[in-house]
Amino acid sequence: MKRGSAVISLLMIGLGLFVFFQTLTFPKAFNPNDFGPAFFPRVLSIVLIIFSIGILALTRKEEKEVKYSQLLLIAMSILLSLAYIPAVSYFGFYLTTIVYTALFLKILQVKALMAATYSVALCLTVYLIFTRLLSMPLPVGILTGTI
Amino acid sequence: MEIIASAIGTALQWQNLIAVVAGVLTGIIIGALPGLGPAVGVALLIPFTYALPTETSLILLTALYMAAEYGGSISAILISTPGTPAAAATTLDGYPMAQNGEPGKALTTSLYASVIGGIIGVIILISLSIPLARFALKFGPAEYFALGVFGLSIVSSLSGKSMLKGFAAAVLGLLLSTVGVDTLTGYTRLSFGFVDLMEGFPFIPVLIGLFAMSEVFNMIEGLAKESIAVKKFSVKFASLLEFKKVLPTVFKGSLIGSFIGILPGAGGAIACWVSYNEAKRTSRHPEKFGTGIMEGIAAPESANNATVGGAMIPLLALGIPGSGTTAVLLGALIMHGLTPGPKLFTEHTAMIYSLFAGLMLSNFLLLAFGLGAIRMWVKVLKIPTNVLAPIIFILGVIGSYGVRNNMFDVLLMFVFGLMGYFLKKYDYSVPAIVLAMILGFMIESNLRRALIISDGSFLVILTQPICLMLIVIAVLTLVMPMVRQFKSQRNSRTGAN
Repeated sequence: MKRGSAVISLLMIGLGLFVFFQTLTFPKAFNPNDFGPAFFPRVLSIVLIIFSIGILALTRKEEKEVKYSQLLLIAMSILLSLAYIPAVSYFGFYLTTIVYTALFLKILQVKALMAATYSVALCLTVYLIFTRLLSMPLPVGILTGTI
Repeated sequence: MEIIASAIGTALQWQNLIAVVAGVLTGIIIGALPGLGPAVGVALLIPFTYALPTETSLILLTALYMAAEYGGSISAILISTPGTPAAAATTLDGYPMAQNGEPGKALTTSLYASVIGGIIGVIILISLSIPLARFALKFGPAEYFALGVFGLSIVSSLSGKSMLKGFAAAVLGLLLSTVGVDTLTGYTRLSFGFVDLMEGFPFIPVLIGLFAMSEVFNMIEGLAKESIAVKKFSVKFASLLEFKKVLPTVFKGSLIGSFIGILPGAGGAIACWVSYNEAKRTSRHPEKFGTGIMEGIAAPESANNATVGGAMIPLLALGIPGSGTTAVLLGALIMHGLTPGPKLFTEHTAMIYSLFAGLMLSNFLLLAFGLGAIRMWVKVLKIPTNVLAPIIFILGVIGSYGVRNNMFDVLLMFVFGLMGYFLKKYDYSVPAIVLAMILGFMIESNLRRALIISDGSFLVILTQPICLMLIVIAVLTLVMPMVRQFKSQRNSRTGAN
């Protein structure tokens, strides 16, 4: 049994079980001919569980193990992405994105000066196109009123 | 005749010509940018049309719509990220072809197919608007349910290595489509108190996440495997002789696209898959699909441009939008003081005809600009991954934020990005999830409506001729790839013995 594939199947089974039990709390429809809001998700959750058990059982031993290279880089990018949302809410889109892009490029082994220049240039382009040209309201956070 | 001549004259006025040029250029760019599809493009350009005359505005917006349907294929081919949902099927063969060193051929195939599809769509729009719209009007909930099931049956040919994983992915997509308010009872399902999920998962952030963000993670990982240096490629165009061979696929795709475009709710995103699947099903060499062949690009690309003309039929003749973009166009029409519907053809005949002329013209300009700038688009490949990844990231953030001006959607985009990254690694079909998410609502709500109308009798699905026909095709579509797989397995086994 390959671990990664099994984890995904187990997560799907978990999701299926969760949805199934959730649907038990759904109300009935007013119209007797309507099978109600619970029917469709409940059937789907059962089918998902059956399929996932099938996949779990059929995962052959000879299947290649999926390799993760750069797991550390991926993990760092995921953490960075998660930090991005609250940061944008406070510092605004532009400040956060400049810093984020520079860090991101640094992770990708780009030289510091290059990373900084590129991220500023990128954000300036975005500003000119989206904020100036297309008047798209991107969150500006603490820069409110200045740009 | 006079009215047509004057309509062409109006379309050729300098301000309208500029509008077509501007529409086509922005359309190609917006289509190519992941997350910014024709609907977002039209919405973003609406403020620019406040000061313009009605014809000019409509010509600008519809030219953008047409060009964006082609533009979506550029990023689908070059970076395996469909610029628009309607270009998702194009990645299957477009990206492998570009990876095989023929991005120029892939892009020109897409361009020619798009232009022919667009022209055929407009011809159908002009000649069949009213009768075809009447036909679509007859569709009741049972037919829509059948159409949804038919669309979903395509999943079996999208599944890749494991059909079971393909089905599991589709079921997951259907399950995700049930999140939000149940339209028939008003009960909010599985939204966990998030107000932002009341209307279900917003489609654009999910799409950007599954397709684009997951690709960013792949790019990070890819760095260790191969150097950042770009592979060599040729910018050789597809020759007309080569393209001639795929013309039957293009014509079929154009007709499929026009027809599906007419059906309200089913736009290019569905048409491209149906056309791709149809081309694969009827092909003499279905096993070559997915390896980077011209038919695999021509089929979805002719179809998605043809939906533009098709989708305009119910919009103009009946006031019913046939796609997300036409829904935004409906808003633009109303903003300009027009009420879409049959009266539009009698009260604003001249404007309608100049709109048709403008749409036709946009196809020829698309060909000109597409060919002229193709070398520029191919250069996108020369951008190293570590430059491209932040661009995709930033555009992904803007694209998901811009739909509702909401950071929650950006978070969703990240979550779906991670999900897409891991699921792709284990051979779960991401397009199957997306397709099921689009069709889930259509299938469930229409089945329930049909049953309410028929007093709970499932016979309604089997007694309506259109409905029955669609269901039969759906079952065949679902079963055929399984039979084929079974046969080839048996053959290889007997061969081994």
